[in-house]
Amino acid sequence: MAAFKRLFSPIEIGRMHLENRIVFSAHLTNFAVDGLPTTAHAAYYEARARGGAGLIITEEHSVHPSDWPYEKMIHGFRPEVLVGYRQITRAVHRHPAKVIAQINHNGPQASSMYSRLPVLGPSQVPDPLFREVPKEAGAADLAEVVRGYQLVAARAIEGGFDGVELQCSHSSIVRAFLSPASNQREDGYGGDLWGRSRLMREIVTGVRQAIGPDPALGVRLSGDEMIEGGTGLQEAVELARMLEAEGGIDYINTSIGVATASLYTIEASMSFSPGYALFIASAIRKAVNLPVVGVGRIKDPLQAEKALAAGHCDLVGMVRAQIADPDLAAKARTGRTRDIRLCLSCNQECVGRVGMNRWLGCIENPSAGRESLVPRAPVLRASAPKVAVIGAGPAGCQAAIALSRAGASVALVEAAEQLGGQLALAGRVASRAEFWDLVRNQRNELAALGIEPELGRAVGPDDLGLLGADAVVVATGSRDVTPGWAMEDGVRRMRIVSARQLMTRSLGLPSGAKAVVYDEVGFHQATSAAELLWEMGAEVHFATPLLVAGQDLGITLDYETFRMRAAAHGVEFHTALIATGAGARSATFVNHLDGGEFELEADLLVLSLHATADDSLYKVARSSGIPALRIGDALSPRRAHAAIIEGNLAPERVAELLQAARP
Amino acid sequence: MPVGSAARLFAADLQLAGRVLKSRAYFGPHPTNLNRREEFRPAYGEYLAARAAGGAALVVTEVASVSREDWPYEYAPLLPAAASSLAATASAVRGEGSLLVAGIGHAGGQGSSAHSQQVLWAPSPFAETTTNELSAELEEEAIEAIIADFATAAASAVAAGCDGVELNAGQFSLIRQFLSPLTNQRGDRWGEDRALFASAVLEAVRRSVAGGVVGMRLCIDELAPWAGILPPRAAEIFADLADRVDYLVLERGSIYTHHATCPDFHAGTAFLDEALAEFKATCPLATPLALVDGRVTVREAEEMLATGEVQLAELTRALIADPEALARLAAGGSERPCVACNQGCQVRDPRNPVVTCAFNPDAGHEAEAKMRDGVARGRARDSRPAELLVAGGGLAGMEAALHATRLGIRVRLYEASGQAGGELALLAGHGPNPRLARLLEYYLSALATAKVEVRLSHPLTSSDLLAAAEAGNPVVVATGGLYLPRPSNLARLTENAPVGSPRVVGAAQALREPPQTGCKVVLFDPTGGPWAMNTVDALLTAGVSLALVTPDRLPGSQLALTGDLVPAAQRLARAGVPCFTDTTVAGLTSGGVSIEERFGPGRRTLEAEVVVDCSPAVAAGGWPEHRLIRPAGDALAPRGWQAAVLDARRAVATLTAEVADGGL
Ligand SMILES: Cc1cc2nc3c(=O)[nH]c(=O)nc-3n(C[C@H](O)[C@H](O)[C@H](O)COP(=O)(O)O)c2cc1C
Ligand code: SF4
Ligand code: SF4
Repeated sequence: MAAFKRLFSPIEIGRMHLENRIVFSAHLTNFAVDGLPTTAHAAYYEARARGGAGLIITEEHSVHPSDWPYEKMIHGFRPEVLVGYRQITRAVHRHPAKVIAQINHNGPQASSMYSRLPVLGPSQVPDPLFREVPKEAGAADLAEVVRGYQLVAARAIEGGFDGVELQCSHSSIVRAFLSPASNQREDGYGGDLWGRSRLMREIVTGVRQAIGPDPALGVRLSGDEMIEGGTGLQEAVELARMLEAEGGIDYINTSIGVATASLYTIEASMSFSPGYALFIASAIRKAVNLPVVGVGRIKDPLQAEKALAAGHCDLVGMVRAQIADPDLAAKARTGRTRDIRLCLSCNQECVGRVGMNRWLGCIENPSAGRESLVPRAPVLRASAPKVAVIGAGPAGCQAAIALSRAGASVALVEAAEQLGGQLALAGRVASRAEFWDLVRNQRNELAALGIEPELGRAVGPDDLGLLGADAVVVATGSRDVTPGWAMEDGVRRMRIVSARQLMTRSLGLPSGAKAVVYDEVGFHQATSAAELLWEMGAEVHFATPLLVAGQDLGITLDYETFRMRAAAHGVEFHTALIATGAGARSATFVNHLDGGEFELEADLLVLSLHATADDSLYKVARSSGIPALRIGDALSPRRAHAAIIEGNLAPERVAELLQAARP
Repeated sequence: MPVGSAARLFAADLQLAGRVLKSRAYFGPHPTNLNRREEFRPAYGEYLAARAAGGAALVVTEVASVSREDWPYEYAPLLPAAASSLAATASAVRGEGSLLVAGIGHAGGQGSSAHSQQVLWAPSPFAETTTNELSAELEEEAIEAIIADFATAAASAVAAGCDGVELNAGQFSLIRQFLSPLTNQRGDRWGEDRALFASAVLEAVRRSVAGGVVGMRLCIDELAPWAGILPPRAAEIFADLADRVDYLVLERGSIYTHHATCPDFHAGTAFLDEALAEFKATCPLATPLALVDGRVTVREAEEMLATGEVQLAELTRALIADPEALARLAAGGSERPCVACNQGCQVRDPRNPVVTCAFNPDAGHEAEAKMRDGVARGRARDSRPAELLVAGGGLAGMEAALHATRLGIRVRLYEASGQAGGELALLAGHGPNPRLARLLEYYLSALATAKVEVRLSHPLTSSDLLAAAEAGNPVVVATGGLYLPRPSNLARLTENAPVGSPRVVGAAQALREPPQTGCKVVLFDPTGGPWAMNTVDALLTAGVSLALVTPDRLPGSQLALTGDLVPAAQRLARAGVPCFTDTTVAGLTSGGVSIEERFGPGRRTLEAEVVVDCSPAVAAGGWPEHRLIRPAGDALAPRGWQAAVLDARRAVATLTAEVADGGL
């Protein structure tokens, strides 16, 4: 406990007492159904409260029917939400944590798709993502919006919340008014900072009036919108001063970026340094006495403690860290830091799913977002079968963990000398290194369960029986295939490797060598290969049949930063190309849009193609009557989350197999 | 008995499985996002019933998954889980004297794992085109289980009151994936005889629906000649299945060509004619047939029936756009034609938009529309406004006028220019979609029939509007948007531009007066939408030398739903248009523009005589504040067709209420 003295010291926020400094800041979950909060919300927040978070701030609730930017938004403006509010607050309050509702109107950062009403904004400036010309809000519109904030704030307090946070930071009508980039008004709501902040001040005053003196009221500000002509740090500090001087609020939360134009900075991926946005909280904290929340890729309690010690902030927002491990706070408090399942900042299943209108999940925590489902029974406890898991990549490790928890006696064998399978390769470029935390997390979890993987043991078709298992789980991954076009009469004419082989870093390359990366998959495999190649000093060309190079990097918010790094290293991109051949010194392509032929000089061709499932052991097992299951890439080569999900479901599947095998 | 110009459509002489169809009109299956996974919702019943009431004789539900592991999009219904709620849908449709048939299918490797959190299953592994997700090869037991699932789902549909089922073997279907060498490279019996799965499913379904209708949607051409199904093969396949099928719908497209199955106007019409001729040359057809071939109006359907080519008229989009089209035509009027724009009815998108129509926003929102118009009609009966004034004769203005006449209100419409139609007329005259001209014709003739007084070249001033409102006559302001210099568009750059800089014009201006052949044009598109692509098409037709600059990752980035994303990229590539993506226009130079790549090393210059800026217009504003004055469409905020029509209808309803309230 002594280790994180500051993190676990209590603090008063206005009249609200917090046990510690760990905040589960606001974030969309898509758990709402038909505009109302659900039991999924209650269970999700309760899990973090149970896990020791000091303060939970819910996802935003819309204050007005003109604001319905995405399908599964909570309609705070409908009185029926109260049922769900009470459910959430009751659940959280079973624990020492406090819970605050974030209320918001997204203004022009919204869509009319669901509301079938024009979006509202300070001026007729379309948001770059939603692209709708807003209706310039008139006096009556603004009065209605302020009224909406008041009603919904009061409703939140009635529903048991300990306070309310106004999201004025990255996707909000208040932000749009604050920002010179979107506010071109010439009336009292525009012009200088005083004018542009008028709406915010009206809302703060109105909301304080509506909720009375007791509940906590916070404002979240963006310290740098990261857009041309937007709000910068100086203005943010000015705003914080103004808010403090005007009175009415109890704390300031911070954030960076704009949810639509510079989203990649708000929920930065692992390519950003930890605590990258703390400078904002730090600058604001120097200017005001109100408690300030710092956020941004703070993944472990040590980083959090350091941020407090350095005086950057009074509270620490840890969102993804607690999505990945709801018990982070409790584990830190009791000194079990090794047990913390560290977030990877991969963004794949949290940000990535939410952006696609799907429930929030997590690549490594399959229970994230599913907390309200009936807890799983230890289905193998009674029979306690011996299960051999073959392959210790993410699927195999997860299966071993889940099976052991479910009561099986597990043997985990791996042909390589290390755990992690392809994860061990994925982390081999600097911008993706934190992917290795997944290997670390699984290794620690295996160790805690007393499972010792047997490394360096390759299992052949004849060895299956020797394992002496009641069932086998085949998690042997996938293998690369060299396609026909890359060979002439079955022979390669140039140096050709798969992205995966390249990532082993066993390849020598003369500096200045010309390398072509050819990508059919569209994800990190090829872009990381390109990155490794430029690190090795190669001149890199990137070719793909897709219309956008690295198209799915958008899902993980890595597109912009990858393209920036690639541009700095002179990478040239060629899209819409289908590879047709690989000669001695060049690769040839045909453009599938116009049929044109294309050629790239190359000393090395790196292929990122779909792999082939390596399921031979599964087939052997089946034909010899051994109950067997294949998971992860051995079932079909996909992304890591699929491997984890299938590993996690292994106990139920094994139980079924054993049931069926029983005479 | 309605006849008129839709005589063949209204012939009640076709029987399917012993059931007489009240017309030849077929309303086909399509995602709507009106349902939920385990529930057919009442709004869906209202949506279908409106089309049935309008004359559709054979209505097919949205394709329901037959197996739990198949969850292709969030609101894809699942049978039998959703069967109990299907009963209400069935009675809503059958209550109109139409048949309801349940679309059933399994998307196989073309599904999604996002909701099921399970691997995609396919005959042989292939990568799904949108997500690039690789499927796994189905095992023998699983294949048998899916066949059984088809039978169970079919039985549940019939038990819920459906007249039968339509099996999906067209786009997004496991059955097609089995049929095709493109997706089936199996070495077992399911691969040796690729039609075995289709046949087994059909057999099982036939048995389980007993005397019910069994329709089949089949892919006639996968558009992948190197391995896919071609028309002669499709004919062979069908020849073996025909005896168990009551009607057949042919469509095209496969894993690489989602966009080609139900494409927008760019694909033209009757695009299956050649394929059908080849098909028939192999297998003479006795089964009643419908075609998904780009013919999207009742008029075209009537012509198609006349040739005897088809026995069923595929009128899905026609009836989304105008559920009353048949009746209108039969009564000697004209239909409100679908323009094949795909800007409202295509909803297979993770955002789950509800099905609607760009020009008929009441589609998919039948209850809201009924309520709105019902109340307005009642209010108008109490206290009818003497006259409605409409300022502006664009889409919103014309729609407001027509809608008011439907409530029995007299209308005068004033248009500042010499022509009615606004941007609709502009695009109809200069854009790539010939169907828009027919829609404009509809509006003009409907305005005439409804005796709306249209005054052209007659702008109204603010005081005119106020005077009308003061006199108790409600006003709809539909004066549209303008391209004005704004910090958010390129017109701002002209302010301090050097001598010899290119002219900057908005997209509308570029359409109205296209630059001359050979003129160097740089088009800037921050929208990625259909308007900008229409402008590109028009400029290419005008023969300008075009370059495209967009801050997006690819040109036409928002066109995935209309299906024009890939075709647009192809048109641009074939026309040799250089496209600068992830790029913005930073300034004007003498004889060109300076552009800046978002991730590039710096600025560079493109030669240009004209810069076409596709940034949206702005509402000019300036109408007087009054209880009886309402803005609609772009005059309120420039958005698009759908908002224009919806605003107009709502404005009329609101004003009617205002008049009635004011009269109290
Ligand atoms: C999926 C997701 C959705 C988010 N949505 C919101 C939101 O609605 N309101 C808000 O103020 N912040 C939102 N955020 C930002 C978080 O509050 C937080 O600032 C950000 O995730 C950085 O913190 P972390 O690195 O600890 O995750 C969201 C973050 C994530 C990951
Ligand atoms: S999906 Fe990745 S970034 Fe998101 S919470 Fe899980 S580990 Fe962290
Ligand atoms: S949106 Fe376009 S294509 Fe679809 S029904 Fe309406 S007019 Fe036809």
